[in-house]
Amino acid sequence: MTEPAVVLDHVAVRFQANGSAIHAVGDVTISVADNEFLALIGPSGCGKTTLLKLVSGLVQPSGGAVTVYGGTAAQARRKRLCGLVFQEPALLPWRTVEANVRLVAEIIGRRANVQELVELVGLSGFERAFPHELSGGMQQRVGLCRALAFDPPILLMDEPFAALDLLTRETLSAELLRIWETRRKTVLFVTHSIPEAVLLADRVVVLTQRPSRIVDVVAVDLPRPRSAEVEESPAFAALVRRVKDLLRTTQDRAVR
Amino acid sequence: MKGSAVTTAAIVGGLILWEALVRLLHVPAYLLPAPSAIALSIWTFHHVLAIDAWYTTYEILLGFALGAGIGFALAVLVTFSRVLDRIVMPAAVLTQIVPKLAVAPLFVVWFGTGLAPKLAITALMAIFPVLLNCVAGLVTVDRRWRELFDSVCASRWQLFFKIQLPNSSPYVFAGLKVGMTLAVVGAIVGEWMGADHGLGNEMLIANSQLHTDLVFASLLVLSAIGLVLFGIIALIEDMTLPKYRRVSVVG
Repeated sequence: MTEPAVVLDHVAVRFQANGSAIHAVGDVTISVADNEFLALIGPSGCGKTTLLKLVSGLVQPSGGAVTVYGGTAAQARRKRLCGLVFQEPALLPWRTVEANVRLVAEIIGRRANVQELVELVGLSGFERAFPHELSGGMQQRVGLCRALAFDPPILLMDEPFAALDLLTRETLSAELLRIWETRRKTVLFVTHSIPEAVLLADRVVVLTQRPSRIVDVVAVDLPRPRSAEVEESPAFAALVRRVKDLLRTTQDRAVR
Repeated sequence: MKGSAVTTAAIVGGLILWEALVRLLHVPAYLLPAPSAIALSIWTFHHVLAIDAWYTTYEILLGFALGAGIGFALAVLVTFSRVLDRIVMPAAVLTQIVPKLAVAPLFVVWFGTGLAPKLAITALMAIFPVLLNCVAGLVTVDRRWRELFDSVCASRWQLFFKIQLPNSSPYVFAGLKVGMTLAVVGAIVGEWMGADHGLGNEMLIANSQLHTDLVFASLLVLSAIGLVLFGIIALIEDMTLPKYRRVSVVG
């Protein structure tokens, strides 16, 4: 069996923010396989983003251990193993599409095949455009390209499609599926959308309210390669219902 | 009628009204000269005014360059060092609270009556807005940009050159514009403290002789210089900075 890409072992995170102690992550243990697509879902503000930051080494665990490809998160950071995709793409307004895609690769001194990436996400012809000239969906594609450009083995995606309208969102998740099928990566994908999680992921991790714990992990055994049509199948509907039920238990717990 | 035509018409109308009132009410020339008298004065003294304008422009530009340079350098230092931030920023605010025009006489004591005290006052006037705006521009770094850079262990210099510096350019221009208008004030005040040349000096002499038309003429030339220098910065901004990146002025 190959080594897992990411292992969170009884990880807890507490930090101070504005003078009050925040217990963001309670006790999370999960192992993410190499090239696995893992979706993280849970109530808002449940520390999902913090989990991604643990993997990228931007946050240190207060307890437990984070292992990324056999090393620490800090080592992974030094080896530049993680590509970040944000909810708002946060492109540099003074850089063209091309230059934005190149940004991270440029920092670490790696050559990026910008042309190929731009084609991959369907932005050909917009290489010289500036971010403000693009729609939200197109900007997010540039954000994705920027993360792919230095070819990291892990993609950390923090609600990347949440700010987009439904139609754009569906188009982009279909594209992400296609891209992930062609260039396999380990993906940690935070989302609020249950269908999106089920459509994309190999497993869906359902988290509780802060301090977050894992309620359950739902294995999505739908055949790959998948497309949007899979959403019509009864198996898909059953999985969505199962995740929804699990999420509901977290809500009940929060009320109590 | 277009907006610019309205403005022109208002200015011309105002001048005509001014001229008419001065003539009809027989306002003495030492109180308020008519526009025609001011125009005549500019024509009569254009040699003197040209030499004065040259000196004053020289002081403004040199003092402004000095002030803007120091302001920007301090801003960079402040963004790189927390310790310096705690020293420079309060010091800057303190010098701002002290009315600079009131310390001008001290500069004469310290630097004499040559070019130095004029440059000192002019630079001092320009430093603060440039410093304040540059700091604002340099520290305004999107949280996600920082995370992106941290996630791949980007160096402090990379953050500075790829994010902070380009991100600050609209703020820098805003600061330079305010700094330039204040530099004009600085140069004039510097000349008032004692000078042999310059428009401020000319105004002072003309004023003492109740030569009010020449005071107005000097004022007009000075305003034109200020406008042109401001316009040059605005022009450079226009050519280098896209419209969607403009910010409003701080300070």
